[in-house]
Amino acid sequence: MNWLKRFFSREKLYADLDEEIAAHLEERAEELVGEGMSKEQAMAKARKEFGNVTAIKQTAREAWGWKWIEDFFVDLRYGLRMSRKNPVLTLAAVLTLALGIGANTAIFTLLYGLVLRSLPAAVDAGQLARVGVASTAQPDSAEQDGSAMTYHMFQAYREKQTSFRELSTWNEPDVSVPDQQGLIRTYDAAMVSGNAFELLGLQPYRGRLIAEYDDVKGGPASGWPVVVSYGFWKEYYGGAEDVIGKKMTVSDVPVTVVGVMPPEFQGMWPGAQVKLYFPMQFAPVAAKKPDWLDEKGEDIFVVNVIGRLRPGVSLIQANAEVKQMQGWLLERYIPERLKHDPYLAKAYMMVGTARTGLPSNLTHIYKKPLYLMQGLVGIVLVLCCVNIGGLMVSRVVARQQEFAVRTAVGASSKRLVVQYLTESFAIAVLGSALGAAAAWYGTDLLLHFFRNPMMNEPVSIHPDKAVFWVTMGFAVVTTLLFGTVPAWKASRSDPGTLLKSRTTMGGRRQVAGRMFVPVQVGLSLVLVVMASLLSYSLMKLRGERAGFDLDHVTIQTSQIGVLKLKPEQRLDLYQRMVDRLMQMPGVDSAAVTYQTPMTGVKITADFQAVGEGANPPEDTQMAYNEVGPGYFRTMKTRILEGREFTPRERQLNVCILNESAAEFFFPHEQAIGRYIRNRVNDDLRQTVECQVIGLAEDAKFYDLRSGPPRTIYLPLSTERMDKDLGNLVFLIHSGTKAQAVSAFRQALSENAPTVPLVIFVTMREQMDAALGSQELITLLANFFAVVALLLSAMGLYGLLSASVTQRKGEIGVRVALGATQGNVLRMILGEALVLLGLGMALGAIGLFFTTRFVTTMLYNVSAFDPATLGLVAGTLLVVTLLAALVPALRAAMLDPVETLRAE
Amino acid sequence: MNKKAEERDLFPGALEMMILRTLQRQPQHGYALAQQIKRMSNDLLEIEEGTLYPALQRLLKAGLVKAEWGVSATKRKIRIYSVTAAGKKDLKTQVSSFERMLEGIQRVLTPEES
Repeated sequence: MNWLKRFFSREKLYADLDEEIAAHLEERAEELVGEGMSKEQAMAKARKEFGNVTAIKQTAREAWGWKWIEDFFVDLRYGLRMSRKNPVLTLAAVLTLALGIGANTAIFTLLYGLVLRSLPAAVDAGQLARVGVASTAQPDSAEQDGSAMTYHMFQAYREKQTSFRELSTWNEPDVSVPDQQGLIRTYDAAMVSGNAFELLGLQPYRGRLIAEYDDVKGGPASGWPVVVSYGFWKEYYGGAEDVIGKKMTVSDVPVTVVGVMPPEFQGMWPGAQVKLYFPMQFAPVAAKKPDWLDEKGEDIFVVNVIGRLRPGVSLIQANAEVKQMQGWLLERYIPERLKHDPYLAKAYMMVGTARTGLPSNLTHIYKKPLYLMQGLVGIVLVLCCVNIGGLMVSRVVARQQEFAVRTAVGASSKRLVVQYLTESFAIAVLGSALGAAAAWYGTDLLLHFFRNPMMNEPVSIHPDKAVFWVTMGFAVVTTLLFGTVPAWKASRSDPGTLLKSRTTMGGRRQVAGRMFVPVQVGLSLVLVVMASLLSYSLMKLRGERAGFDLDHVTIQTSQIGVLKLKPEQRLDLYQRMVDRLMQMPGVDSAAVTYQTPMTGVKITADFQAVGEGANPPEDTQMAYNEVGPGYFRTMKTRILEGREFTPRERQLNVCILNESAAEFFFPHEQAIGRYIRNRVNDDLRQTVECQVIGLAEDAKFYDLRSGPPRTIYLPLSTERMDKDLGNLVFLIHSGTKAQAVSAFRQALSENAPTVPLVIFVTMREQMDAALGSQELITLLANFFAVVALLLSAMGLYGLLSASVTQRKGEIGVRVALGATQGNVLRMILGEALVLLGLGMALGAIGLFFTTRFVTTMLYNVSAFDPATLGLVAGTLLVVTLLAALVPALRAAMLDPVETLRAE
Repeated sequence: MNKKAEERDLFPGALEMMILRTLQRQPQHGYALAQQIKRMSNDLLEIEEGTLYPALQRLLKAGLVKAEWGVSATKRKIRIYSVTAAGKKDLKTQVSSFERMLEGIQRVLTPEES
């Protein structure tokens, strides 16, 4: 710091020195004059005694060690001047780099925001860890879950464990809050134990955070408190200073705002938008559920546990401890009804890092795609650097004379390298600045693809300091990547070249930068192959028959749950809405359902045929849904036998199976009229025995990627109306989305005017959201593949043009000696093909190492799909020939007399 | 360039040591310092006056001396250098290690009497 301060005041230091030396000389001269010398003689003698004034000043200045910085600025100015001399080349380099760095910054912003960013805990975030139940039944469960427990399990664990200094609990429900107009809106909220924020070391932005004394049964004497997020404070209260003490109604309970969260805390679940924070004891109150925090409360896995490890305790030690405890913890605290749940049957306990927060669905879905995208844009950046490197080498060759002159007058080769790297750095900084600016806006664009239309709020991620530093890192790395080779070349400029003729007749000279072209071709090959594979599988995914109509079904989530109605009344209201919708213009059909397909959420039930030998338990898991009358007609899923549910069927004693399920339960037999029975599990928490009344065609369910699962459909029951606020989803089959929207508005205003409108999406939109990352990667891969092809073509074209120019003399001689135009054409094209061949070989090696990363994204396409590889090779060949054609033709058209005369 | 200046010294750091010692006796400005070192070494050491200044800058940077502008008895604007606490400490260690070195050299040079 001190050093830097002195650096900026160095002009003053230098001035002091100059003044001091001048005074020294003067004093000595005066003394000599006093001894009787003439003024001029005295001054000369004083100087002689002093030594070389300029050199001494220089040495004295260097004592401060700033020379390299000063050189840097001189070089920078020089570099900028040189860049201005060749604006096209500079612009090309800057734009290429901006593209590469912009893409990397944008993707890194997402990767960082969703996957890498640490919690802004004041105390070391590396000590934060989560504890919970995972299962070997689901390979990625440790990453995806691994933080949930039942409350009783948590209490028992907390009492016996020794690894953690402190443990806190988090729960993430939705809550409904009336907005300023009185319309009810739902927000993501978090319920936290009283010590949660203290454990993270967070400080409030305004007021206070949730504290120990808030987290008591029935709430503190002053009433339930709420801490709002910084974003919510700005949005809902307009950032009002007097927000503390404001009242709010949350899920019909009055609460008081006591504080605002710090802006840097973006929640415990990356990408999610938690707006409101309450004490844990508020959770059962808001959910209007029986108190699961109570001693006799129900055991549900909704408590996320975050703790701070004791100093010196590692994750491995904490894991070892929990492994020792898991036997009795799981035995005692997994409720009997869930013991056979396939997930919990293979459950184990684990401790994982919580450095970045709790695992969120979003992180889980996008982690791999994001790394893949980062890899893709990384390749693009390298390609950009290679391309610029090629351009720069050609420029060095053009400036050979300049460098030779500078070497001749005494510039050291080290100095030349530094000077050249500085020039490159100037270009890198310009490119980075431009790229970063583009990324700033680009990130929002990319986030569009990460939006789940069924989510309340879009994902929000913004670049911050870490991203800035990474971008700077890109700039430095790229400078080294594209600047080193030209710099080395420049430093080797031989002053002797000055004396030599610029063209040589004999001996074929290689054009500088030759080796760049195969590298470019190789990198392009990798990108183009990946893009093609991804496009091909997206096409296949899109073209798959889903088993329902994707394009004409609009989904409308309802908030009818906010009305206080008895289950029967609620079902009646849904039926009235559906009946009214069916009368609306443009609407063919409408229905309500518990779940919509294509959300990616897996909800399963465990059924067996009644009266037959038991099926193996592993195999009895199947997808299940509860659907209202008209569901199949609306979704355009065909009923093959039997019938749909009627409005009267509100008990879980009838069911519809899809073909796969029917074939599974009753192979080669008639399924209609038979009975099946379930085992109680987490979602379907009651015993069901039902008669099969219909057989539906197979339809996809979780997502497009997985084939149609065995599926059982049950009617919407009064029991369902008791759970989950009783909110159902409307499905409307209509000509256009607009018709569905206006029909729904109309029907709602007639039947339930106080219920808020939420979101309309079509089935297609929902599916695209489920494919979000796939589509984004494919789009990016294709875009960059095209860029890569263009860059390689440009590189090849530039190289061959330079080569033809340099070999003018040689070609002239060849033609004079009888080579035909065809010969010359073939010669140049041959050169291009050799480069292409080398590039393809490099690319093949690259593919060998990289395709494994895309295989998980592929659908029904092999990573080494011969058709794709052939197509890509063909494309590269065409591009190469096109790029080579112009220089080749120019060579063929050369007039031998003209060229020879020029020599 | 730095190197050349030091080659003219007896050994690296000798000039700095002499400057510190001289300034410790009495803070003074560059010209006086140069004259005094010359005089005290009886002109045995051929020191270009100018080489003092890079040495002074090095000492300034290291925080061993500090400089202040002042006015001399002859009403001249001068920059007076004085030794800081760190400079005093540094001089002590340097002198003692120099003495040890000198002693070592002398022992080698003195013919053995046995």
